[in-house]
Amino acid sequence: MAKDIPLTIKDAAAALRSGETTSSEITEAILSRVDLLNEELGAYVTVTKDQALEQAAQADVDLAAGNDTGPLQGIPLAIKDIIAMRGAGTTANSRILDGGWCPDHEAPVTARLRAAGSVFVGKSTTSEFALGLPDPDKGFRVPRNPWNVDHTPAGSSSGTGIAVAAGLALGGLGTDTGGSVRGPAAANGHTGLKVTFGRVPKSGVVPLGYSLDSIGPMARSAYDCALMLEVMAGHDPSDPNAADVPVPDYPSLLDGDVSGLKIALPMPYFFEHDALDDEVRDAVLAAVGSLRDGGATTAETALAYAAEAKEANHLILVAEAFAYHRRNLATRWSDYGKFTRPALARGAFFSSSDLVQANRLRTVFCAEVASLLADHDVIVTPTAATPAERADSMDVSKRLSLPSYTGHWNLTGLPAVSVPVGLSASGLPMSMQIIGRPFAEATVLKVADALQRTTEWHLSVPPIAEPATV
Amino acid sequence: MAVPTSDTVAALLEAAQLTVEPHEFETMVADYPVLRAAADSLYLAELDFVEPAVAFDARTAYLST
Repeated sequence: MAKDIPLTIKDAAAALRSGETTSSEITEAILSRVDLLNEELGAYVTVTKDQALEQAAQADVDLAAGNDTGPLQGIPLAIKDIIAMRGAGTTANSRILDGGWCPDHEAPVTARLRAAGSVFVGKSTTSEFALGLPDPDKGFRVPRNPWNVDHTPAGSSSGTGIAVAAGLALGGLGTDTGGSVRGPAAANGHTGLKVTFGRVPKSGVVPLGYSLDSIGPMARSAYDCALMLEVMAGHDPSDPNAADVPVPDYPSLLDGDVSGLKIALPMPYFFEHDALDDEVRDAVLAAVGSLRDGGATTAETALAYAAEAKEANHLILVAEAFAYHRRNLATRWSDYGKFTRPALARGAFFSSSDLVQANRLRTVFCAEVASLLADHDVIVTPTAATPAERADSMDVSKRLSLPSYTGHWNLTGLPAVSVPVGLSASGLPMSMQIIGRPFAEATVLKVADALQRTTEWHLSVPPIAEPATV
Repeated sequence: MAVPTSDTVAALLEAAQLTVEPHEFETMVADYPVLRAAADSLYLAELDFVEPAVAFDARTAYLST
């Protein structure tokens, strides 16, 4: 049985400084959990045990010597396997990268976390190239939802989502092009932040959609995401899209006060769609009610072009991804996973004018959202229309006709945080999304944190990962 | 006379130099009208005079090259 460990980064950081535990003890406990659960849950592609133990030992030495590099020091994290990390090749869960991409390179975001003293448990599972569904025939572990292994953990940052939920890391990195941080955070029952486009440099990441990609923190709480973002954010010249915008002290801005906050609820597409599960809608509206109890005001409204924006995001994503992959698709089709290759090949079905038109729709949708955010501080929607699907019933063709609530905020480049709001009758997490103005990560995290001060859904542990079990 | 969807899909795949499995081709033929309708839904009259949201900042574009 592995030793119990703190649930949150905040608690672990306090325990490290009070002498209650050490980074080595936490890391060893987490590695023991990984030994027990990774085969079944498929959270990690590569476990960097030796590196993690070295980093943990160094953190303990530094803390004992009074060399405190901040709250991420000695904290075990999972790094999504499309992000370059020194000491571990990046596979993107694909045979195409042949044994690992850039094993000696480190993305700026990973370098920042390393410099802050974090411990890297390993490279976490991604949907192949951050797209598609797992293909069990390609030699990678299939990721499974720790709340019910028959269900999907969602993607594409599946592994980090699983790792946080199951105590196989205290936090981690995901990337988000159409919902790949928020979807797994929702499916696995914790918090995930999609940052403003350009807030975190994305160089050193295998691209999916150049104009949509972002790297975001995933952790149990909004406060933990703020601790991570504080280290991750900021300009870097290696990414032409990285924004040179000051980085506020995010954690200090989470004061729990939502009095006077104006929340927009765009009803027609996001709350009244036939495909939206009643339990999910009720849970989201109950959470909104909690914020109202805290002094926030809400307004039911509408957001024009919501359906078209979903299509525009998909079209741009596919077109940009197809440009990156076309040469390999033409020569190595069968090396791609069986769900990835047809999804990428959709790029061949759109024309150049379709792409321009999608970006014109992007202009008007951004204007609609800007208008809504001129009168409201945040927009709230469900993160996903249903709890996590059964893995054996996932259908990529069917998804074309279903609503999606996440890609809109990649299209607009806005920050959006996913927070758990309950468990369904079937015992699966449900989640809501809080969207804010450009670079207003502090606002969306503040709202999420305020909710998490009055609820404990983000601290729920799936039975498979309870200390008595592992 | 309308071109069969299967011919359109085959031509687009050939133009992109992609060779797919027969069952994948069948799925693509089934999905193509949905994808085409999604793209066509973006050709709205009110977009006729709208500039695309394409960002390019010459101050930073050459820093990484």
